[in-house]
Amino acid sequence: MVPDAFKWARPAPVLYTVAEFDLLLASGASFLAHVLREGRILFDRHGAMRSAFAAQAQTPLDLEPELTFQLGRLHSFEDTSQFNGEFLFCLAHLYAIGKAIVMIVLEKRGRPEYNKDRAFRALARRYPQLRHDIQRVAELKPFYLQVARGREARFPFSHRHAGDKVPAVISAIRNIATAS
Amino acid sequence: MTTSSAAPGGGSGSPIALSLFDRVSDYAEALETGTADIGKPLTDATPIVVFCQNFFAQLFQNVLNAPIRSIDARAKEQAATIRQQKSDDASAPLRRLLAVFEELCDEWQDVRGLSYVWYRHRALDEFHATLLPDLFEAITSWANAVDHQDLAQRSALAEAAYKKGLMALSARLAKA
Repeated sequence: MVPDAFKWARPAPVLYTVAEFDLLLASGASFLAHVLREGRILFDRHGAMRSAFAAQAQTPLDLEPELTFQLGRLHSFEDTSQFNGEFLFCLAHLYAIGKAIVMIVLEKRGRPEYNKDRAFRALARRYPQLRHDIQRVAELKPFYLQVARGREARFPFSHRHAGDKVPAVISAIRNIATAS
Repeated sequence: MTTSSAAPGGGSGSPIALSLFDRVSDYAEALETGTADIGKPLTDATPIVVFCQNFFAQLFQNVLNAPIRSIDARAKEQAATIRQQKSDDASAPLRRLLAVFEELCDEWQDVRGLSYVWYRHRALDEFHATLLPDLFEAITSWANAVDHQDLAQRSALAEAAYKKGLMALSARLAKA
């Protein structure tokens, strides 16, 4: 489905029916903002997409539910005894949640950034008092790359018996969320 | 917030942390109350995703001494190799557990919504209706075989909670 010329970029095709796309439009989610800001319509037989995009551009985003949802996901990682000394997947998920919250905060501040590394740097510049928290989450990226992409990378610390790191990361993510 | 114990199983002597089964309870409750939608791919921190990843991470690390770093084709090959090496009768429950893991590796991309959309619904149905019940049965059977009674009991309870959640969901869908 993806032409060979674009495979280097690891594109992830996502198909929406019209009804599903309407739901996305109604959600006010940050992904919608990304689509509206950087998306390009390649084919639109009846002009429905163009009309929907134009109407949506006038509607403010509602990012609070998304922020609440992301913060709620932290619950699954609070009890570190469940990991039995093996924290690779836990740390990968915490990076994913932290990254999502960083992007939501930037979107709320009207400074959207969709590149992971640039997003962390942009937020650290905007909130220097959170630099330590932001760094604590950003440094987990190699765990995420290993689990999500199968990409070998040097870990900042061993994921074995890293239980003492997890509460600090969760706390850092919650601090970052307050910046919004 | 609790902290991890250095002892496997959080001090219970089990190679799998018993508290990990709380994630199954969380998911069962979400099914029962309608906050989980089994028609949509499962996101990163969905409790049942956390359970599946970490159950097998602990099994491969603490029982097989062959850590995995993802649930994918590479991990499936690793599991198949180990399964073929464990050919004695006593390893039958472990072989069954590894076979479920191999199936999970096949379906994981679709269950997580990471591949093309036309596979999703079938994979999600199979995951909920077949694979998860098979997984709980295989865990209970293996835990009994290796005489980890606490683990077997916890797995059986998780299976019962999960089935109850699934039945409540089915009943709600039938009414709608």
